[in-house]
Amino acid sequence: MSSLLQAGKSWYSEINSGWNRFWFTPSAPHTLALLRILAGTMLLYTHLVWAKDLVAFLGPDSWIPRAASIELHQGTYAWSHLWYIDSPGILWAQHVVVLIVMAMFTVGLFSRVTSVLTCLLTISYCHRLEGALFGLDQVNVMLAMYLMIGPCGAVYSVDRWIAKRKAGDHLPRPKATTSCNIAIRLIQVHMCIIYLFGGISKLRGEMWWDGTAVWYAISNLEYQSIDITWLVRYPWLIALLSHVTVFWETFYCFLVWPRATRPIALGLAFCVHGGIALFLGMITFGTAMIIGNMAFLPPHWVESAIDYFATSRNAVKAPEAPSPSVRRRKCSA
Amino acid sequence: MTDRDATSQPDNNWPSKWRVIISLLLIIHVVAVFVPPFMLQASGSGGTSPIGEVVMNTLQPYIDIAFLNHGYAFFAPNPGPSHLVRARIEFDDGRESIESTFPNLNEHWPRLLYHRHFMLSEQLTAQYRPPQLPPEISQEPELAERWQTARRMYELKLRSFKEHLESKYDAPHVTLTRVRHRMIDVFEVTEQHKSLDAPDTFYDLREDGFVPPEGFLGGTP
Repeated sequence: MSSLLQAGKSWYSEINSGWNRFWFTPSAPHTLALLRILAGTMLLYTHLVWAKDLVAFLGPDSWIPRAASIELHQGTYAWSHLWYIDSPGILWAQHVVVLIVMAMFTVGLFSRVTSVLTCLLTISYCHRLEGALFGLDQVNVMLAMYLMIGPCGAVYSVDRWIAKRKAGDHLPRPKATTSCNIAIRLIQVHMCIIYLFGGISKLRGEMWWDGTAVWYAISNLEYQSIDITWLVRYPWLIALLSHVTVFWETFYCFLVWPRATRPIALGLAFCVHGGIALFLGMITFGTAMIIGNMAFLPPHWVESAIDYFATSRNAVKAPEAPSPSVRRRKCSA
Repeated sequence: MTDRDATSQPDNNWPSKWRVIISLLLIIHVVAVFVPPFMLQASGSGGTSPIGEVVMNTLQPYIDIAFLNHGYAFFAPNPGPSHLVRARIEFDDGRESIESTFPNLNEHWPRLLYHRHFMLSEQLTAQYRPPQLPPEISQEPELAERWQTARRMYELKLRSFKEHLESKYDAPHVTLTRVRHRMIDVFEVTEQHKSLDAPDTFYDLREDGFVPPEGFLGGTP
């Protein structure tokens, strides 16, 4: 009996330390900062596109006017500040402010405040625009929500640049924090849930089993951006793509955690979403999903990659400074 | 996930009380992300999963506020046909009537804006319920109520679209017709050399919900 109790205690202790390791191990902010830049750009672009037809989507005689939008949300707890704006002038003024906030968030200016505002505004727009939304908006909100939790402006940001100017050489390296780890972990877990149910829902469809699903996706004229229906000559390839997609989605949540299988899970994510972006007319959604997958990149990889690109760019820009010996020779001449 | 800068050890400076509170919040949040797509799948002829319903109802305020109510069923269970909306706009002042269809690649640019219009037409048809309550669900109060809500939402959207176009064109009469662009199978492309925009792959959807048999389909986009 006591050995059973001991085993139970040891199991609990293992679970507890695993949980603590997973959520509460401090992490450097480089991956989160890269996600801020990429997701911020996507959010800014999404809202710039709304601006192209702002009154048609949000104005008094919009596709779904404000009263209809409120009615569509009846019985729910959704809320939008846009439910109280009808005048096109005020609508435009607030939209310009929204774009400025999102631009500030993207470049990392006052990131602590702008990250929270960006998240709240993104959700508010989504609640108002019910009926015109799709997967992109779900991923946009997900990224905005988790980016506000961690120190997403700690590096690669105007905030950091200002701090550097103030502190000179004394500015310490950005700290690894637990809040950064929690933000990254939440994106990772959320991505796993998206794929798990993406896979499970496909398992209910016969086209994913008989291998024709990819054909019906690529031959859908309203989605299609580049015609790859020539694949019809290779039915085995269409079937392979269908089966790989459904198995990869369903098992992503298991494959992405072990280091050995992570490159497979992420590589397939890049291919599938790259394909959706290029061929199925959803370049924004495909890119947003790739950004979400980048949460699995370790911060030191991101730091090394960005350092490498920054160094090689500087090397190309500035001609190599003469070595001290060359300078001495020139002076003596 | 390896991290050069991280201590690779949990931050023990946090008081355990805080750690417990944060852990509880994390669990609640992850459950709130998990439950909506779970509920979409956890339903059948016997209704929806009772345990899922309890959790969903409990977390509903948070799920709604945080915009987490999604199914993530992309191209699932099967890729389906596309749905467009054709609008006939008529005037009383002598102007010639206009016929336009949305989404329209020639009119809606950039691609994201086109996709917004595509979603308007797709989600309108996704919400469609015929005007008469089907007899098989009239005995089930819960199903009947859901059906009526969906029908009301469909009518609301259809009316909103109509009013938007009336205002946009300053026109007194707008007639909307939902159009289905059916899927085209491999045989039709390889053996019959049918193109993806063949006229007989488009057909109008009737408001009474009647769908003609396959052989009788066809029409103009």
